[in-house]
Amino acid sequence: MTDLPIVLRFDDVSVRHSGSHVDAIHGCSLEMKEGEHVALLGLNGSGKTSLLMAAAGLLPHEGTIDVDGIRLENSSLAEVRRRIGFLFSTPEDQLLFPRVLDDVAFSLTTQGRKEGEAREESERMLEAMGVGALANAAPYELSLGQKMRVALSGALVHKPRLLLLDEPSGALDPPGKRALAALFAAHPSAMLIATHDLVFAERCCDRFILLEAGKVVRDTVQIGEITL
Amino acid sequence: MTVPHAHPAHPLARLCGGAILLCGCLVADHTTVAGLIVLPAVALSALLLQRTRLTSMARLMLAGTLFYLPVVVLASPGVALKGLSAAIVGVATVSSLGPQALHDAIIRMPLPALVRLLVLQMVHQAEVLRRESVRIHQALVVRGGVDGIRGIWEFAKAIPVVWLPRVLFRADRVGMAMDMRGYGAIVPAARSVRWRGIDFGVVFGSLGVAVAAVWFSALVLI
Repeated sequence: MTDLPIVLRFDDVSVRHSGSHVDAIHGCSLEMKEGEHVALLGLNGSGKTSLLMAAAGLLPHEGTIDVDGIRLENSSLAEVRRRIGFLFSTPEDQLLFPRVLDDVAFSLTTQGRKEGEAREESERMLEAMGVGALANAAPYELSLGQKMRVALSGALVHKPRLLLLDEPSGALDPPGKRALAALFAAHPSAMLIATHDLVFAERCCDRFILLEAGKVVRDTVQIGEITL
Repeated sequence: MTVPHAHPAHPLARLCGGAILLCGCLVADHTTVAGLIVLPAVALSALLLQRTRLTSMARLMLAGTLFYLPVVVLASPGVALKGLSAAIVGVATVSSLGPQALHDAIIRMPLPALVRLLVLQMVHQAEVLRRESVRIHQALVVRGGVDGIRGIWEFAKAIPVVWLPRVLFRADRVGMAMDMRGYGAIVPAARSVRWRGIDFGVVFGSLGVAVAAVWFSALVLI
């Protein structure tokens, strides 16, 4: 994996929320290579979500962040985000259309795909996520687990180079978690998965980063070295 | 949002008709006796135009009257009637369309793209917030064991401390998601509409009612 291109690079990155006196992320440096699946582990409030948001340009940062070779700054935001698939921890917030199929297809039409083609591909993605029957449903009528799968379909459908996933297994039942972990494990995109579910992380990731109080305290390929 | 019913006119025509009647309500003079007669007539036209169910109509009237009662005392009956009529026209129009029909109609509205996108998102989020409000009410009932009038009072008290902060945080998160997903960069596609006689009838009928209301409200009867 050493020769593969780097899709995410943090160099001495610090993030501070407005109004706070403490850094949510402090002096963080890390690299992720193409196709690498990395679990971002840590307790609540350790900075996992802030790190993901900084990587997507949703929070201002100090230091430098490169996504797929592009320096993250205001002028490159749109270009960077085209290469990212993002899943929020509250999936309802990212479902922006009154019909599931339209919501997923939107991720493709923003990339310039034709409407009919986008719908067909979105239907296939929803089927693959086990929610094909919900294509014509309204997002607010779904259960939390179903919303998560629909939001995930929207994040995956345009085949992003980098997936940033915030607690993707949080709302799922055990069979759902196993199925999702298998899907992630086989997915070719690089993934940074924020979670505190060690079992889930072990199933779908090959590298584990532990955050404590906004700092990377361990970066290992052996999950056994990590306790939460 | 109520379950929509079959209506022969296209959603876009019904939305345009509702918007025209709403403008009629807002422009009509509420300070004259004629205005006080005309405003309920415009509201009634909207209810008939949108084929609002009788039960929904009764609920709408009751809720609107209770809501605007303080305005009668604090401001004037004319202001209250204007507000009530406008609210009835707006709610009757929106509730007669399902979420998807409303979405399709807004996309085709002759408005700037950015305005259409913002309105679309406001409508979508309004339904999400309505459901959120129901959940807060249920939580209050379960945790406090209060229901009925006292429950409504407890819910009203919770609005500034529970509901409002939630709405603000949620707006922040939705804004981030819109940024992230490139919402606003392109306008979702809308298929063209073939207008039929009934669609023209709805729009021009509404226009006629609105113009007549504005003209009649300006007449000094006594």
